Amino acid sequence: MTNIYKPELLRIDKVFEETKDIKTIRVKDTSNPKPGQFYEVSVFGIGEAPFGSASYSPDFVDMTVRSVGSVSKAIINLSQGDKIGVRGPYGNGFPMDKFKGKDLVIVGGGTGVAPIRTVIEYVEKHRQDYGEVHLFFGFRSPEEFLFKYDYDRWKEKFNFTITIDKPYEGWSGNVGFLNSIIEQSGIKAENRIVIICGPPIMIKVTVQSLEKIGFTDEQVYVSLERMMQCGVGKCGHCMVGNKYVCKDGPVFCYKEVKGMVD
Amino acid sequence: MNYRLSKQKIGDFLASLMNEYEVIAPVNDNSLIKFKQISNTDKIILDFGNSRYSLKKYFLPNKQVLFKYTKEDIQEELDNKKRIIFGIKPCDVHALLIMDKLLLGEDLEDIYYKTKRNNTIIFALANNKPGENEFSSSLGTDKLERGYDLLFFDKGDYYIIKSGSEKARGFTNNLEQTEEEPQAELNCEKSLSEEQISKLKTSFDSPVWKEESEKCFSCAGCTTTCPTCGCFDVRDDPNLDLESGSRIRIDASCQLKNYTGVAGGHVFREGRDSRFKHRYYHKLDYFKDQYGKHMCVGCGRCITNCPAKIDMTEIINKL
Ligand code: SF4
Ligand code: SF4
Repeated sequence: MTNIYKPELLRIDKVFEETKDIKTIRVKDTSNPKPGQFYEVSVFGIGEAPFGSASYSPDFVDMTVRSVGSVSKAIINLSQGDKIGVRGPYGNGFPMDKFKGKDLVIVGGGTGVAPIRTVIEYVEKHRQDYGEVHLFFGFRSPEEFLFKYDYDRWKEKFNFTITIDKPYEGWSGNVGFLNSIIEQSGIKAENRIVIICGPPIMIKVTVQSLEKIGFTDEQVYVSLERMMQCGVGKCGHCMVGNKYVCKDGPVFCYKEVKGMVD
Repeated sequence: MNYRLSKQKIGDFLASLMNEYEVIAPVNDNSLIKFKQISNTDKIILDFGNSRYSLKKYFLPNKQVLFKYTKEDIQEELDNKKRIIFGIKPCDVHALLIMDKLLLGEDLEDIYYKTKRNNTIIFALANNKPGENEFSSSLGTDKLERGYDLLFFDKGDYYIIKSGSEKARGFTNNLEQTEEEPQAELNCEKSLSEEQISKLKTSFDSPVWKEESEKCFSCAGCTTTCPTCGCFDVRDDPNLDLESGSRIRIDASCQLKNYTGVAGGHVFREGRDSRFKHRYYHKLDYFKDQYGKHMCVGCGRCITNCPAKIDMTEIINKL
């Protein structure tokens, strides 16, 4: 009998310093998560918490961790070679097959760009399946940028726009919230799918702007964050309406989530 | 074919199984009926409504070690104890069938629950007397078609016993056979109609939730004693060396604020009314959407154990 609560012990293979309180850790693992899936990560003695995958690879899994909770703080303090417990991948992930033949608008705010990166890497590997691809990234300031090492590559392959919330010394790029940048970009709603990850408020205003452009809720996909313990639909914490965010999500079509209330 | 056992012999019958099994039965504990492990059959209560607390701790303990960890290794801990529970009432057997739906889903089985479930023999006791505040007769959970190994019908000075599983054979070998077909009828005072329950579909914004939740203390008494509330938290319990320890799971309650709190501080069901309402919706609406039946078996314990005397049937009947 397999034990759904028992993690596998894995060594941290690499650590990428992202910002002053965010790191990306890489473990060798062949589970090759679908874009948008997540893992339950343990630091024994501290506990376990869910972390979205930030990569799409058959050989390893990247997870981007910001030190907010006790488990993430403990992970941040680990180094290459240290062991963590990992179980997963869990959740539905983005329905990338359903998006075939569409133009994609991929929007990430703050640490929400981590699950977004799994989508981008997936699209890179299946480029012929999708049309035009726009990436919109928003951060508070350039100090908060994640995955800087990928930007040059993405700029070559996609329409890549990055914005910061407030003017910053030495920054000559876009300033302003993601929603207004998207409104100004001139993208049209026709034959497009929008994928958004970020804080709830950012999702809300972005959807409002998209509606102005003419997008419908059916065209928008989001990934939700909730309190989770088990990750497999047993512990109850992540229930929203009659859905489990861990099992039925974390990815939902915005049309479904809109009606989801506590 | 059924079996017959004189009531006087029930003690000997259970005692004969104690070598092989831990026997759990209803006893009187400080004037409350509770299910406990017994070593002596004198104390068993045979005529009762229902126990004050549910039997879920025998399947989903309120604190349980999932595994022990060291720097190098993880060792899971499974409870292989063989148990017989005697006297479990139909609504509580239905509660187990509900927990099975949640915890034994095909690809995502909870092996801790499964092991305990497989190692536990159910000697159910057909209903003739409702438990305090019970309303199982409205939900159809007062009768049993399956879910038991043996089902005892109280016929005054003897029992008619129905066998309900392969496993049961080993227990009926020495029992007298009978053609008598038993029946049991339960009449609960409280009731909750399916029609009334279906009003939940359109009552999410009803003022009832806010009004009624004002009486609630958010004490979690209801969820703690409910036989189908199985929510849990997962925690680590480190040893003093800080390198080894146990991963445990403990009861959690949707009635408490921290239940939906995420790292960073946000609480999704911040208002007491939203937590209060969630329980009713999960029990009588969401679970049915997910698994095809209600998550409430009408045992009445959440009413009996509520310090604010909040009555589930009254609340739903107000909608
Ligand atoms: S909700 Fe109340 S009546 Fe229903 S099963 Fe739970 S404790 Fe019993
Ligand atoms: S037992 Fe009663 S007071 Fe306590 S949380 Fe449940 S409904 Fe509220």
